[in-house]
Amino acid sequence: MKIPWPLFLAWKQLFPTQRKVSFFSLLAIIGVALGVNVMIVVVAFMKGFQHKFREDIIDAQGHARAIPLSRTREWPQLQQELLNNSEVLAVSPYLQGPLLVQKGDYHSVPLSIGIDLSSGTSVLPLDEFLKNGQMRMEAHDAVDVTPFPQSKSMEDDVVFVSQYVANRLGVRPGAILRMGKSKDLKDELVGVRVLELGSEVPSAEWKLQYLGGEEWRLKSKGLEFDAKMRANNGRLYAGPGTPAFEVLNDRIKLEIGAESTYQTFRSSTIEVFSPVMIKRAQANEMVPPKEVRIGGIFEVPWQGFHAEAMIGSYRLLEDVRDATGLCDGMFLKFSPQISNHEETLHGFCEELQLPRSVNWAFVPWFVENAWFFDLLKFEEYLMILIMVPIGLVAAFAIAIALMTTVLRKIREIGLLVAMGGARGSVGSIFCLQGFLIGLLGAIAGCGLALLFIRYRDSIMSFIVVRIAGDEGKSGVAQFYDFYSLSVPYPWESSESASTFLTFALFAILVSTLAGLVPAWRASRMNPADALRNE
Amino acid sequence: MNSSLVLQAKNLSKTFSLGAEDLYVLKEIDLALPRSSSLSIRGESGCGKTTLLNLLARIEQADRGELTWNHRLMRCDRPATREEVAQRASFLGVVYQAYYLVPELDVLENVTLPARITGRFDPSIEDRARFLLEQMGVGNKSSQIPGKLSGGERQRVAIARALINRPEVLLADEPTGNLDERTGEEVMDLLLHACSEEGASLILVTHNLAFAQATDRQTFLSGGQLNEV
Repeated sequence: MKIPWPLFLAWKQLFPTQRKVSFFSLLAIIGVALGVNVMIVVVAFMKGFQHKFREDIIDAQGHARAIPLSRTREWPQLQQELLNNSEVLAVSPYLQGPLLVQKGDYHSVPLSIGIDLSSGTSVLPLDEFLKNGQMRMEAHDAVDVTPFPQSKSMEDDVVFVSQYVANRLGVRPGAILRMGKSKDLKDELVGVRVLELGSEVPSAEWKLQYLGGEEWRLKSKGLEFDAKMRANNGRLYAGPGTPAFEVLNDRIKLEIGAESTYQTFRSSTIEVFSPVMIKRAQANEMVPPKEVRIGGIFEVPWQGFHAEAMIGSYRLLEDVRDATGLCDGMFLKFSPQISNHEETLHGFCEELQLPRSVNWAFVPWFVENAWFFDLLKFEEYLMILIMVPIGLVAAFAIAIALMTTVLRKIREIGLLVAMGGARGSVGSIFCLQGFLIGLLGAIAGCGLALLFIRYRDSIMSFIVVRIAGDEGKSGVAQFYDFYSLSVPYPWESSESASTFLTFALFAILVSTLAGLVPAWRASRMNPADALRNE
Repeated sequence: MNSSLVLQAKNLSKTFSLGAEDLYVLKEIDLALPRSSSLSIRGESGCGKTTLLNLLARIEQADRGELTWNHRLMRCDRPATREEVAQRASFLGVVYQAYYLVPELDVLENVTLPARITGRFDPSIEDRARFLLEQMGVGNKSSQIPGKLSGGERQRVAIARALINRPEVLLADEPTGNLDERTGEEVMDLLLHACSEEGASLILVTHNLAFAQATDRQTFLSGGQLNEV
């Protein structure tokens, strides 16, 4: 293939024949590559954070909320109307407001959300939040086998509290330990695992004994409880107030009479007062507090969710707030066709609101949290603003190096003109060198960025552990949660492709511009003077 | 105009400004070079020999005068036009005392460089380059880089490079100036032989009387005047 001679010479000056690469070229290309890599990675991660927050927000409050402009009892009709729309996947009413909760001398005023037990979890993935807030107990010669609390165990007198509230009040959900030497306590050795631990299970010591076949026996000396039971589809349950177990299919052959010992710790109870109850108490009315048990601790990854929060049943909130039949709003979840694009979602919310605008407002998640995303965007722009001068510094370095090359090659420049090379073409050699450095640096930088994205968890762990140790790692992960960041490859998302392309083009442009001054200098050179140059 | 002349200069003058004073280097030089002939220019150092070659090659601008390249008349008191630059690439080959090989290219790439510049590069050009290198006695050095060649070998490569575009005129500026006597003689023999083989006219600038006498005509540049010897 015939390539233009200035490009041929530019390439050869960067990669001379019989040498792999010139030192200058290597440094310049590495410089550009690192710059491109950093810019892409920072912006990709910023977008990853935005994406993560988007997911977290949607998890915490759905795609939109329908908010009544005044308290209304007519929400069931609206709920039904909305559910008749094929694009609406779930509608869950809620009541919310501050409640005073108390445990002994400690109290807290969490924002309390009462969700409809049947429809609430179709909008809020409460089980995921509960997993995040699981507490573990440590004990000598025992192992914590407490199963994850589940949203289905939420009842009218069972609530979930945020980690902040749990710490503040010193409360916890029920826990169960398997007693014995730690090395002998693995599920597969014992043959069963704890399946459920209801918040109503009292503190006690339990012995679970294998009687042969499908027969088992559960007894508690302190509670004077003794019951035989049969495994039902692998499930062992002796009734309310007892833990439920699961027989492992792949258990080792248990000897008849083999038994294991468990210690249960009853979940904490707290007293709940609503503003209405407090007002009545001030009017000397006898208003006993509502006593509820802690079913679990939740952690919502969305930082904007109230740290001091409690989730209970709709009926609990209805009861304590004296708000029978009322609702403060409804969480809405839409089909992907609607929810994937913000403009479509906005339009759909407007469409829903139009005939109901007298009584209801339909607020999409990104409108409600616009302040937060504006802040993230601002941070992203700020990062770019900081990084662009770094790119320009690299460009200056390239310009200086190319200028030095021009001065070193003055006689060669004269020779090229003497051989019939147009001055512009001779000058373009240096501009093309800048272009090639930018092009190769951009390609290498994109490659590095892909590697960084591919191995981001390992790299981040390596760096964080070296700086802050394992504790620091878990701290950083908890705060930034980068392990769950979704940072798409350019072939997976047009936004990512655009980030890669933008910074690659920026590097190529800046490097090419860096070659302009040396190119201009070379093209202005008098060939006769250049040839006379010593 | 004599149709057998391949290069002709009339009234070429060149002055260099040295502060307040002007230095008249060339004064109304007339020169005519018939096709396939050779001409030598001798003179003291600094008398303007290289400047004269630069003017003849339109690398440098004269104060006044006319130049004819293969019947194309050019005014020398203005810079070379794009067309003239393009024509220079095929009309002229230049050999310098200091070789000026491009260090990043190997010998073959150096020789074919003028063909690349004129857009004539193709596989046949590489064959021609190898042929010229064989003629110059450095056929086995085609893949070497200039840094690994001796001075004589570099100059042979430079001559092959100057001839690659089949120029009608070869300007050689002290091509043996950096070489020892024996190597210089070898290179000069090769240069004259190659010009003869290629049918190129030669203008040779040299201090060496014997080399000058090997050309068809000898001139001497002194006081800005070029005189036939």
